[in-house]
Amino acid sequence: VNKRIPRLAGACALALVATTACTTTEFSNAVGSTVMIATGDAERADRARSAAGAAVDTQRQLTFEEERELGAAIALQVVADIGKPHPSRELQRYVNLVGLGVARQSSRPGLPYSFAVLENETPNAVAAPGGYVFITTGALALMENEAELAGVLAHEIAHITERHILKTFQRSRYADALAQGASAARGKGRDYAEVSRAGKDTLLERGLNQEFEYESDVVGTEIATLAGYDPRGLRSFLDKMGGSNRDGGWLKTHPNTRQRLSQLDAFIAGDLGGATGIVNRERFQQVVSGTR
Amino acid sequence: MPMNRKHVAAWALAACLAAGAALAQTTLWVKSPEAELRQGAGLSGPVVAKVKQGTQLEVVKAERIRYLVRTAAGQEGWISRQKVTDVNPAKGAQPGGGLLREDRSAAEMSAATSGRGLRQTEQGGGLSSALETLNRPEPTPTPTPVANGTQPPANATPTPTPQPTPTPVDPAVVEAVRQMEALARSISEGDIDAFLKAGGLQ
Repeated sequence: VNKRIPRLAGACALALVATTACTTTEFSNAVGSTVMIATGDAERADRARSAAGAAVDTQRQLTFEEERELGAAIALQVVADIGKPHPSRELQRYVNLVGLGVARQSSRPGLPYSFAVLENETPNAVAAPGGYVFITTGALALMENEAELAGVLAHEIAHITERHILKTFQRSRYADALAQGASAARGKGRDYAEVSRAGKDTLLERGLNQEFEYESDVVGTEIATLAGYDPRGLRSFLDKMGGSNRDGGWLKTHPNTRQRLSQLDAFIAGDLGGATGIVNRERFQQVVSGTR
Repeated sequence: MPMNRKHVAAWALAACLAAGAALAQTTLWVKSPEAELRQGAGLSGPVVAKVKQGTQLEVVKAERIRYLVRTAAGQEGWISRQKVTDVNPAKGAQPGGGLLREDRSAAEMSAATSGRGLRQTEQGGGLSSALETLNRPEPTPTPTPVANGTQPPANATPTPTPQPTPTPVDPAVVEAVRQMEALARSISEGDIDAFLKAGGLQ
């Protein structure tokens, strides 16, 4: 019994710590102390402390400031890689208004979202942590109405609100660099540049995990619908992308279009109860056609 | 029948885990300025009530993208997952735990609740901080103490240590991101309201 009680206390403490956890250091120290109490084995406690720290590091959520800073660094890489912003202020403002209207309905409406149209013929749209969203002129060229634009922007907003790129990092070998490099106080330029380059490569070359893309399709479609848009906007754009002969961009980094369409059809008919909404073809054509 | 030690241990552990699970709340708060409770799970169902930011809701049932909730007044309706938070706005952000497992920083929370009339105050130092970090040179290594206590002569010419120079960020790219942020900041809540209204969206 004498051995069981401390072990039980340790297990309880571990369970409670796990549900309320705190910082990595606090957590790993708590786990270490728990194992020490339970086993009386200092070496084992040290190993547990170390393992707990590593485990939590990969789950650690960055602060808003860290996320924003990392996002800005990736945004710089994305602009450098994709191309310069389209010169029309009217077009940039219009895309921002659509994006900000949709972002209001997201789970993180307070983020300082900003949107930019980049000059590149390959249809693509990417998001960087903290609120940066980019769409190419090639993507706009495939669209016919505002609901499609809203759907694509909402898909990207969902990547931000669900922290997909951060989660991708935290599953990767960049986890340590992210934890260290994202803090301006501690970060080193070289490490940080590597992390932000990896972020750009993930967005433009390798793509995010497929489950994240499916999740963004669903969440994005929901928030576009909540904003009042036709829930079929993203679906319509995907359909055109799948039927286009273009390579690269979204088709290169995103999962099979047919599966995405099928999932969206089920979501719109089921979860959204077949909701309808605004398409705004004329307003879109008025602004976008003049800039093509 | 007296319980044996294994049973005692199992029950105690279960009680502890249950206590931990209880920390995962079934109470939510509205985080949007205003949200709608609807009858039926579809987004197009009739609105049964409008709830304002900070309203406390009890979860009756959870589905993939929405909750069936009950207000303090006893009204029940469906609300989107996007519209609620498990962080009590009166107490601020709380790390970990909770039904939604959110961990919103005080800065973002403040930005979210302060209204878009204050968009400028939402800006973290994203771009400037990123540039500062990207352009920060590698720290100079601390000189290694010389063995046997011997020190190089004071007038000795130090051997230059090659330092990797961070690749400077193209000023045109920096300006592009700066202008992107500035344009978004220049758009007020009223501008968004007017845009949505003109498009028949609200």
